[in-house]
Amino acid sequence: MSEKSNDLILVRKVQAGDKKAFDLLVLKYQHKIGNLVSRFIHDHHEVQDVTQEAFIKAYRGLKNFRGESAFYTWLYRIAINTAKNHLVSASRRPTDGSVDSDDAEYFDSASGLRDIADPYSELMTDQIAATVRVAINGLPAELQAAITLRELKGMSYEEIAEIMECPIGTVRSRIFRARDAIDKQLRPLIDNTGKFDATRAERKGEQEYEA
Amino acid sequence: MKHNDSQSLKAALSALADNERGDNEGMTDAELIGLACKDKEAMLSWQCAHLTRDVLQADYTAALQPGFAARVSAQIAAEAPLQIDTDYQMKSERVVSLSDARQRAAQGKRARQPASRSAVPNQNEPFKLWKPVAGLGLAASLAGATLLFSQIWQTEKLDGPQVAESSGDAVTQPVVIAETDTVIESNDVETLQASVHVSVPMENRGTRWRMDSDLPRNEQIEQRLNTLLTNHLEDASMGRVTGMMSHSRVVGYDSVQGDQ
Repeated sequence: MSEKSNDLILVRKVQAGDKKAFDLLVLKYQHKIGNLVSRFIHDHHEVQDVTQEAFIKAYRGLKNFRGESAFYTWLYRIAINTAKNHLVSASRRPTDGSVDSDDAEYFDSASGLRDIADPYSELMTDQIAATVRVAINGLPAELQAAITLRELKGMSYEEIAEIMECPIGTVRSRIFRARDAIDKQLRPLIDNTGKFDATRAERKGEQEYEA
Repeated sequence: MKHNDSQSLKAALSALADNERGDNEGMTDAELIGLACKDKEAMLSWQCAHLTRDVLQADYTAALQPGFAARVSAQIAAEAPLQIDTDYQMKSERVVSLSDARQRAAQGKRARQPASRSAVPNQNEPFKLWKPVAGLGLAASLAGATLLFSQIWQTEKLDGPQVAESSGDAVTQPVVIAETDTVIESNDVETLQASVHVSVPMENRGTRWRMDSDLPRNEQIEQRLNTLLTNHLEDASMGRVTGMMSHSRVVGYDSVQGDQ
């Protein structure tokens, strides 16, 4: 099953009136779109607003989405247009770092963001990234290898099974167990509404610092 | 939801996040997504799985504040729901499963069919049906037009002046040799000798260029025709082009020479 059809199922659910399905799409693409927008706009608050606007536009435009292109390509295009329109309306020219929708998914997204983030966001970013890395480092070797090959190298389960010389079902199980372990570490930082819990993060950071 | 159910749902979501779900999973992807949408734990697992991916792939950004997705969700909740009839689309979507792909690979078949294409419905398909229909219509109209013009051309050919007959076989119909409004039908060649308009039964005339010696020639027509052929050849040679009708050239020159 391709990524395209995976997203398409969600899109069809949204088109049928299921708004929760759109939440899954937002959770999946929020940071990618946020990164993309930050290539055009360097103000932290504006990036938030424009990214949010892009998602709302995408939701409204889904009634016309026919699935002829991949959903993320379509979403990236909306985000780029929204960012450019925002700059035009603010009488600013698009920056030199503009990204075409075709290569939007390949750009190095981490660069240039530190300058625009506020301390609170920086704390959140550092803490979540550190938590994920600590959680992965604490995994048993086979789980660590499986999740790393999958997420960092983008390998399929079949390829990982060949490398690790085990059945595909085992790979699937290992990746799930790795995610479950990371999930348990991340959960305390994210409350039930999906918000980042800064107090907990600070406390956790202090504990790690003391350790 | 029981713990086991919750864990199996999370496991299925994990595979779904990697697009590695097979066909025999007990429920379809659409059903799984439907369940996940109603389950907070499943939603959080989905979020954590993609958060982990974003961190590892350096997509995780500090540009978005905490609770961004929740804010978007709240705003979407205030929007009117989309209600498009997607049933026909869902039915027409042929989702190529991983197991299918593996089976094809195992059988040594080419699994390079455009899966994404077949999985994606094309709402323009009804309009695409018009293409061959329009093509057929165009072809039919062209054929009709060709037939019509050929008939007109044939009619004009018959009505217009004839400079040569194809054969001397038993054709008894009168033939008009020059432009005229009046067609004179007669077998009496003598009486028509002086006339420009001659109509002679074919069996008495032989071919255009090989008339029987006892039949008179219409000199006026002969001269005119020879002049035309000669002019054609001269014009053609000036333009460094060979005459279009080599047969006529030979006959024309022969005729001119014969006249001289």
